[in-house]
Amino acid sequence: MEHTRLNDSDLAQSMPSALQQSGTASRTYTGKTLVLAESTNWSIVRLRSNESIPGLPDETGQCSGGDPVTLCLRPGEWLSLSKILTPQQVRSELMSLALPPLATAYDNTHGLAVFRLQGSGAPWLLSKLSGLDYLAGVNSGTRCAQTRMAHISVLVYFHENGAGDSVFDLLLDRSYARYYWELLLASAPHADELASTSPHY
Amino acid sequence: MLRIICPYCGLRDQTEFRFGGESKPRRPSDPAALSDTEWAGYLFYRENPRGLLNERWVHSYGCGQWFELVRDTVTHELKRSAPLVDLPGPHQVSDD
Amino acid sequence: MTEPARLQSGGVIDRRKPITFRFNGKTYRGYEGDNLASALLANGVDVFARSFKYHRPRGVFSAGEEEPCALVETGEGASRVPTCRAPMVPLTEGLVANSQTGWPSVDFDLGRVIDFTHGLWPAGFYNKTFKWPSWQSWEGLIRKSAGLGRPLTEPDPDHYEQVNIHCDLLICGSGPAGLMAALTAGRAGLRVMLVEQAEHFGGSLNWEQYQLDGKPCTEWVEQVLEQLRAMKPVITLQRTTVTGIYDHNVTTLLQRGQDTDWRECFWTVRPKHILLCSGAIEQGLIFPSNDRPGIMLASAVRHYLNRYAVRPGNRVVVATNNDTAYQTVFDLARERLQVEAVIDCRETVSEALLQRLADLGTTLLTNARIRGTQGSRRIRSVAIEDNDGKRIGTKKCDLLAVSGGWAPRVHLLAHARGSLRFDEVSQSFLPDALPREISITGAANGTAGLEELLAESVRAACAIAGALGKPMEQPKPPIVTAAITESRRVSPANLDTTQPRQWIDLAHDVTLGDAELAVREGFVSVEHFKRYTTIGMSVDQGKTGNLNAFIALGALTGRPAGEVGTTTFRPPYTPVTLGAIAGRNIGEFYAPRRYLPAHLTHAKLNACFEDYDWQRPDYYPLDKESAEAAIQREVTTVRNAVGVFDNSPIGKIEVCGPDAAIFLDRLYINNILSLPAGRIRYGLMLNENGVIIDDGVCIRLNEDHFLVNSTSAAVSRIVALMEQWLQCEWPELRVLVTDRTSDWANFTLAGPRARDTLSALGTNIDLAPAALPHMAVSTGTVMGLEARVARVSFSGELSFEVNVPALAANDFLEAVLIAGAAHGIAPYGIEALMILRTEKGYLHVGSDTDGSSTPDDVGWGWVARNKSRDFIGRRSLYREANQAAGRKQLIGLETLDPGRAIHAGGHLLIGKDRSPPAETDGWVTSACYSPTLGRYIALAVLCSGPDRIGEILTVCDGNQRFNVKVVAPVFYDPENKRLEN
Repeated sequence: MEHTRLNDSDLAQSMPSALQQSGTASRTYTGKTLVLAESTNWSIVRLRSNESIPGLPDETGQCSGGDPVTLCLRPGEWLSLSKILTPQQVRSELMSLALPPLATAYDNTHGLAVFRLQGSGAPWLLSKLSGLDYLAGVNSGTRCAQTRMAHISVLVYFHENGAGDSVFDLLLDRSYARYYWELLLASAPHADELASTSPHY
Repeated sequence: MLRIICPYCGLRDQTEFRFGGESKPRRPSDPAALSDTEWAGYLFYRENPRGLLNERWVHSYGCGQWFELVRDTVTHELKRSAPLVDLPGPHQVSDD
Repeated sequence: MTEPARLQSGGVIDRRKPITFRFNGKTYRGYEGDNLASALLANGVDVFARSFKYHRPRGVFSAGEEEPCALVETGEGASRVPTCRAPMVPLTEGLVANSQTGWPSVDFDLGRVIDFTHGLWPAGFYNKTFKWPSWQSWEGLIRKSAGLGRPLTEPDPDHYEQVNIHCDLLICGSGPAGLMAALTAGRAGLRVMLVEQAEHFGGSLNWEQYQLDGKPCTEWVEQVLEQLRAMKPVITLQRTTVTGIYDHNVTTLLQRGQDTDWRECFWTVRPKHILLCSGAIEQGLIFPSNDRPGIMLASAVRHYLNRYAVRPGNRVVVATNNDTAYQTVFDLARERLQVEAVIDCRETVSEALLQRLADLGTTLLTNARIRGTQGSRRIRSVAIEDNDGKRIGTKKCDLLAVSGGWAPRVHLLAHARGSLRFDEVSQSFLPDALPREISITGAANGTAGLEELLAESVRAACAIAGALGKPMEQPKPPIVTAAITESRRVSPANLDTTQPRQWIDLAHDVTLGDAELAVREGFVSVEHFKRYTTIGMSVDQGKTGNLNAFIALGALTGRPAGEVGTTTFRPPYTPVTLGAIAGRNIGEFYAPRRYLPAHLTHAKLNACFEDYDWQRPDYYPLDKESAEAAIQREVTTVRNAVGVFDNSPIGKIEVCGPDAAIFLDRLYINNILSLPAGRIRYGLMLNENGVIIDDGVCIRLNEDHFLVNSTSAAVSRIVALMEQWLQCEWPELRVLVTDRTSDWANFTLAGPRARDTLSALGTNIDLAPAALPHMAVSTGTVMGLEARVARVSFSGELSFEVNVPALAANDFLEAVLIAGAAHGIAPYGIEALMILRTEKGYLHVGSDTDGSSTPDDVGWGWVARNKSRDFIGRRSLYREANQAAGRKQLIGLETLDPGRAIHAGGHLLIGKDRSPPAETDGWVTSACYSPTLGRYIALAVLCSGPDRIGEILTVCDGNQRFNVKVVAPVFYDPENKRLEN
């Protein structure tokens, strides 16, 4: 049995699946216009401070960097995501910035589940669950928004992949993963229908 | 359902927020020095105007920040939304 | 003969696709494109229903959602839908529909006796009669004799979808105004939603015989739709009703599915601008016996004739107070149907109309009105008089087409708080002041004339496009020819209030006589008038009659209609299925479920899960063990060996910074400043009213780093509370609060062998009592995993709470069970935990405390009093009520008969062997059977409880009454020796 060792310098390649841990059978779904899958290869570090930090975006919703990419959730709170580095490495990079006296950076990889949505049906699926204007398109580069879906708080990180398609990464508290996944699956067929009926909206 | 302007996140559904009531005066620095009536005044009594009201909201399902909104209690028109501290928020709205 | 009233040709029905359906047990034929009303009319059906109060036979009055008479139920069993408007039910193969009123049948209804004795049952009769012996004795009978549909008892078997969406422009209604606006706005590049409540787009263009750009208007509709569908940011929705406009213009739509697996879809739209093109509803006329089958709105006659090729009658009389009804005469003439007479209450009629009538040879009677009608199951004849009451004559007919003017559909505008004014020319309420970001065009705005209405819509759409940053050149609207006469000039009402039985509200069976009665009794304000008479309160909400009602009220009280005003329009516009509003938020999705990080392992252990927000094991039955046996075994295992409990949901709120101690000291009643690093303190948090809101342990990791273990159910509340104080009151404090509950899994090892088990796992933490005493914390590794180990106990036994990273939870739990096997380990669940803590008298906030409990009430008052620094709630503790004697305070209870079961909720009465009625002196807050002590125990709150130890009380436990003794609230190991193990 492999144990996750936070002090290891091994690459954090296999983040156990939150869906598997909670007894969910499936982990991917492909519809006519959308693809859903749980992403398990993220390192996620949360940074808190009571001041802005030079080098990091200071406006809510802004993102900067490639990998790791840092999302500004609100003044004084950031999430750094990486698919290449371990949480320790991400944390070290953050700690090497000119941090103010009061700042903490900690590994949030264990506490979050990540789902990736792609396809023309993806904005429709999200529109079924929350009230943001997902269909408006990704118009100012990468952005993130913390919002409510059903009864839980979800961070939506939207960006474009190499081929210019919209990608939505949804980050939420790991304990809700199964409930949220079941909701996504139940809502997907109608999202497919909506996307097929109005493909250009 | 109202549409509330969070100074940090922009226009969002009311269901993302929790209403924090009328903006209160600052908490008395020495509550022990107040009489029961004065203490009750701080805890319970508010202006409750018909018209413009300064009130507090928190974006619980969003950024988690508290902010102050000026809302017309008759028409629900939002006149101003601003952070509590004097930092500018990107989505601040002020009087028309 | 099938379909005796169907024309040989014409209509937009598909005669190649016949449909079989049933109504009241008989089989009929219709076609694709029919609705239930058109198909039944084609088949010569006269009586669709019985009226609400008088059980009079009723037919079809209209062709739309405003239908007040033809209310039927469709479907069977759990899929039955009561009170459907027949014109709004699309005809589908195998449709089953039934009348829902009339007993034994709609054709022969014994309830008609009420009609024959109508004088006894005016509006509000039940307020004045049927009082002896009591209203309740008659209520059942009276309610049964009136009414429309039968509700269902089965749950709704269908499923419903929901969507949220944003757009630039939401256009309500796809008649000529809406289509023109959509085309214009779409060309400007706006994100447009065009919503239509009918089965097909086009509105009145579906039945009126206009020509646009030289073509039949239905062709123009098709062309526009084709263009709209090709435009990218345009969504067109048919079979979708705009049900309401709410605050900030948030608008809801109810979309009816066709060939979908969902029955309805509920849309919540957030438009930047709304354009109302909702048209107008034709009103009836008020005259004696104006409710018989065969009396139909003039525009409905055209609708059935032109769109569905249905001949609603063979000998027709038309009665009107405006020009638009004349188009019905001309359309009927086109189909060679005889119009016996036109009865117009106005003095004069235009030359053009006079000429056309003369060409047709149709009799016109001006300055005339209807005196009465004859016919039971169908109208047979009409008696006519002049406006002064002098008889003119009688005409035989089987169809009476009536037009009392047009009421603009201003409902949505009124939802959004737009105001209305009464227009004398059209005798209707028109939009006055518009709310922000809402426009209105077409018949809904009182605009008559197709040409003018199209131009108005173009202008409106261009203005909106400009305002939204997409200005455009105004396109030219199509050229209109062969338009009907379109003057909206209406003659004011000419009521003869001396005549009886003149219906104002067909759906609720309310007559002019009832209106008069209301006025006579002083109910003259429009809102009182409505409620006294119940005018406009039925399922149709008075769509075809309210305008007449307000005008009549004005006439009866000598006020102009504008002064009378309207009643308040409220959403929804037409009924909305509750299932559509609930959407998917039912059953499994009603509330979010949270799963423990070690869920898989708990499932493998055969845990019996219960919903505490988190899905948590209640107990782990072995083999065929009963729940009771399992729970008792778990308790005993903890007391005698070692148990493992998954405490992962407990809050792990990290509070750090130079001011962390000061901050927490202000939140707790306890002294936090003095808490040494590496130590733990159990604390209570209060709200500003001095009421306990949380209990839990506060762990000090080092000088400026704390971990707050809030009770599981309160975690998000406490985090939010901390954020609130830091952001709103104390922004100067240098503190950061982060919720790390899901990052860490937490397992409690409790019992005399707990230390042995933890050692067996392998750890670099010194577990010796001196190194890690009770209420202390250490960090290090366990099993090679980063870990925090705290010695806290909720069971009263030697106990270690081990925090490891959540991802390792499953592996860790399995390893614990292996390591503890030699020591007799067993997993234990919530049920066992609750017994263990009750045996020790440990609080459970929310069970043993409520919204009034202060620290004194639970025996912690001395801690609060010893602290001189201010903390939240401190001031309130010194209020009179919080210092008063006789407050309900925590004590323990022992049943005098140890085997006697006691339950939470039982009330305590002073003295033994008491019985209610009596004043309650307190109640049982927690209770259980204690396997450790072999008896039942309970915690309770009792007035001045701690001063009454030893007293005997009676408890009312359900139906049982038995005696209990007041004891101290701790039953096991009161000196806490086992904690120091």
